[in-house]
Amino acid sequence: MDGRAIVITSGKGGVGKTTVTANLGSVLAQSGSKVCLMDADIGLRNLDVVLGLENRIVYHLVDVIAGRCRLKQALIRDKRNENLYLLPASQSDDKNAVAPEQMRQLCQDLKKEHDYILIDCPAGIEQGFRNAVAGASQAVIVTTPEVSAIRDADRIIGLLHAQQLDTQLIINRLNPELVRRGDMLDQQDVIDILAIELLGIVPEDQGIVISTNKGNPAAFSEEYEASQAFWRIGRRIRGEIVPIPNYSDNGNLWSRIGKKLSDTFRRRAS
Amino acid sequence: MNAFADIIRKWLGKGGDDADSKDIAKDRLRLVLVHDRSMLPPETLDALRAELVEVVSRYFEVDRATLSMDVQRTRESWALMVNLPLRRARSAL
Repeated sequence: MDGRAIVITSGKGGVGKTTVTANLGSVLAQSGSKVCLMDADIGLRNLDVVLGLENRIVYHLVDVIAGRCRLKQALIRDKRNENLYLLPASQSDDKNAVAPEQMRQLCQDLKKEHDYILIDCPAGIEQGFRNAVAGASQAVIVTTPEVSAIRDADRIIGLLHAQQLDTQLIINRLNPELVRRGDMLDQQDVIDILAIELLGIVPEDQGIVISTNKGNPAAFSEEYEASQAFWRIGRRIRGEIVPIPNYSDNGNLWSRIGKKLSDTFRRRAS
Repeated sequence: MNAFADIIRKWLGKGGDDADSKDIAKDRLRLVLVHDRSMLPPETLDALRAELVEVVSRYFEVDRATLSMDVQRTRESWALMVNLPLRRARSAL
C-alpha cells in the first residue's frame, strides 16, 4: 500500500483543525479507506478527546519515535469503525522531542499500512509546524472567514508553497446568514485574497459542539449540516467531482432586493 | 451582468453608513497582506510608492492618490501589482 499523507494546518489556533481532521478521517474510513489520524500537537494533545478515545491511550507518537514501543502498539483502533486509527500525541513531552527527519520516517512507515494519513498540525509556524509538515505530501489549510484567520492562513500558504506542497483550502464555520447580510466574507472573497484552490466549505453548525461534547465526530451521524459538508469534502479527497454549494448566490441578491423594497415602502407608509 | 449586479449591490448598501462590514474586512486584509507578503515595513513601502509615482510622473500625468499596490501570489512566484491610472502622456503636452 502507498498511502497519502495530508497535513491539516492553519497558522491560527481555534479555527477547527482538530475537528476537521477527526471528521474527514471518519468520512474516509466509512468510505472504506484505511485511515490513520496523527496528532502532531505534542504537549497539547486533543484529537483523542474529540474522537472519544482518550481512555484507550497506552503509548504515543514520542514513544514510537524514541523506540519505546512498536508502531502497531501505539495505534488505537476506533470503536465505531475498524478502518480508523489514531496515533496520539504525547502530553508530557515538548515539541523538540521530535525532529522533522523522524516524522518523515514515521509517515513512510504509516503509508505502507494506510490509504490516508491525516496529520493534525499544531498552531503556529515554529518547530511543531515544521515537524507536522515534514512527512506530508499535500496540505489542507483550514480557515474561518475572519481577518485574523485569513491573515495567518496566507502566511502558512507562503511557507507551504516554498516547500512545493500541493495546497488546498477548507473554509470552516461559514455562517450563511451573515454572508447574506454582507457581514461575513464569502467564499469568493476568501479565494480572491488567498489565491488557492478551494477544497470545501463547512457551514457553522451547533451540531459540532454537541458531537464534540460526546466525543463522537459529527460525520458519524447524518443529522448535521456540517457532516454533509464533511462527506462532500471526503469524496473530493477520494477523487470524485462534487460541486461546492454557493452560499452567496444570486438568490440572496434577490432576497436583499425584496427586503430593501419592503423597507422603503414601510418607511413611506408611516 | 456583473456591472449591473454591482450597481444593485451599491443601491442595497446599508442605509446610512453604506459599506458592508465584509468589504471593510476585505480592504483591511488586502493592505495587511501587502506588508506581510512583501516583508517590507510600512515606511519602506511608502518610499517605494513615492518613487514609483516619481518615475511614472516623468512620462505621464498621474494622480498620486490613485496608486494602489498589491502583492499577488501564484503557485510559482510572487508579483507586485501596481495600478496607477494615467491622465495623459507628457509628450502630448
